[in-house]
Amino acid sequence: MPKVGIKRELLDLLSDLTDYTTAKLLADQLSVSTKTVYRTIDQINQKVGIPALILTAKGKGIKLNKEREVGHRVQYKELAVNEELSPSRRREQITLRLLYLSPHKMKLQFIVEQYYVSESVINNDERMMNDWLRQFDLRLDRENRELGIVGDESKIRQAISALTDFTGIIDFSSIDNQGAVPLNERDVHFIAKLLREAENRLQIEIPYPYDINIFSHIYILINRYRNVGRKSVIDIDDYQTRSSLDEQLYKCAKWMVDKIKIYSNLELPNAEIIYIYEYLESSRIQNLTGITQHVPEVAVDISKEYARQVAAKLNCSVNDEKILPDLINHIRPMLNRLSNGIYAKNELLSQIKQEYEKIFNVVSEVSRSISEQFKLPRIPEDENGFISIYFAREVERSTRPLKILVACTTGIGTAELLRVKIEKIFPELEIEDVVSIRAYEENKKKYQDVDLILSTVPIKNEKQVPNLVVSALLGKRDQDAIRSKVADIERIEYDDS
Amino acid sequence: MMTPKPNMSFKVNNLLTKKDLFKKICKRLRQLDLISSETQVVNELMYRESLSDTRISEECAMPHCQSEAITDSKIIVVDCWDNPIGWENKNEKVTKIVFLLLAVNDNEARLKEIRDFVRALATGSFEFNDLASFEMLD
Repeated sequence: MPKVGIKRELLDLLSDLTDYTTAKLLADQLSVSTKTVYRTIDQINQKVGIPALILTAKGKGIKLNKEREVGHRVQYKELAVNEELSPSRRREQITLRLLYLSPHKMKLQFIVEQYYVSESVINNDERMMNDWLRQFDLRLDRENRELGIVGDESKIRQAISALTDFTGIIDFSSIDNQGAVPLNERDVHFIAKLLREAENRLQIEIPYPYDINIFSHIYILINRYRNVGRKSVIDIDDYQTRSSLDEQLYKCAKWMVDKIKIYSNLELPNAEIIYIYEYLESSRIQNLTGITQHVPEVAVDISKEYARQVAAKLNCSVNDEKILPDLINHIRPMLNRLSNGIYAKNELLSQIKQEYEKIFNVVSEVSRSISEQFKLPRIPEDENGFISIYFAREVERSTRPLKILVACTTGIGTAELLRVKIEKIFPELEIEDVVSIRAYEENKKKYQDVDLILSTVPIKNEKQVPNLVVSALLGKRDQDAIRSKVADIERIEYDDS
Repeated sequence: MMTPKPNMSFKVNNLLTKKDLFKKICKRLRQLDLISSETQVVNELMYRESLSDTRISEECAMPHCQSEAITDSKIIVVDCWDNPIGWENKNEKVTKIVFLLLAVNDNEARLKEIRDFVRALATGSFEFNDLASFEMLD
């Protein structure tokens, strides 16, 4: 069976070509046999169904079917009629379809026929769909027995994003994973590749969930333009007044839009460059100096306010030093998202609500108060979910200090000194004991609850308890190593919990 | 609680390496019958040094070992202000004080004294004025 990576590599190669190529050429470039190339093509085509994604023609060769799905108004396979749809699923599908078509309308008769339901059922659906759309400031509009959705383009895209499950799509080490996701495979492949190339160009990593946010934005953008053309132009007057744009990010956004134009054969306005720019900037981009270093004062103030108010409402102490860096790192791009109407979907929201109900409710309450205090737009519950995670981690961390064992060869020299230094620098750690290595090895059972051993000499064959060798000097490098190790242990404990 | 004081204090009067220092001190301790084997204690100290550096600050080091060859636990202070000791190499020197801790294997009371001394040192409650007069190391 061909390796998963070959499928992706093959699609990468074909998507760069406009004309037919030979199996031999592809085999050479992939370092596999021509047989494997044909077998891989078969597997991909079987997976995606008809029409085939890769065309093979005798005498011509192999090429990607770029016409596949393009020009089809309906992008979602799941929009096909399905008699077994539940009422809520039916409403989701009708809403999604209307969102993609907006501002165009759809004939009521068409909906009735497609979903085998009566007009009275549709009337009832209409009320519920309107309730759902209200959160995005969108509404259903019925005129001359036609149904449509009206509202701002940015809100329409937010609503599409909320209705579409992009989970796992970005990390598609195997296109097989996409089986359950009813998206256009070719678009998925193109966008995933585009993001990988953008990361390479910027020498950055776009972390989860921001990679999915950008992914879904581009996917929706392409499909909106395909369906309704320039009617899906986003109102972007505000952006033109922006004075400072990061040149590197802007260049990358422009490059991405150019690639999208070529790929989709669509004319996209320059406003889309700014929109993608905003997404890149709103991501918690790592490694990109200059962008992440500058933190606006308001992001720090809001983060401090969160820490203060949530701790007070939860009636617990929160270690500012620990939580603030993470919070600021989230709040800074969140402010960007709020002011630009970017919707960051939180795939874990329902789990967070269930597992950390109290924290989530408190964070939501504090978010409302902070919105008023700092004159921000309403903070969506997906963002509250992200913020709740930081507090959940902090609350769990503060309930149990890590137990530390300090050791050296004798347990009387450098270890004793180390104990005093650790107590001073890391008051949050609990020093269980100071021992000689020999005493530890003879009484391992006694110390089995210890979380970390800090030793001035290496401990042989210690695999059960995490341990770290530090110098008796306990300089900055040692202190950083301890912080990092402690954070690792806390993360593992948090994940396990 | 009374802060334990060093039992012995030496002053270095020429340029030495770490191993030279251990040899000279152990020779003196052997003469005083405080250790039963110079070589064994020097080897134990050097073995500990091979595991990790015992410098506790830019200027001070705390070599230590626990050995059967030690007949009585000792806290020894070595003044090397005038003649810094080449510690890891010629360029990395201990320029002020060496605290040499020698512990008997199974005398808990004496071990506690050493621990208390180290804690006093680390918390800044140890007074260098308390030191007894220094013996020159030949």
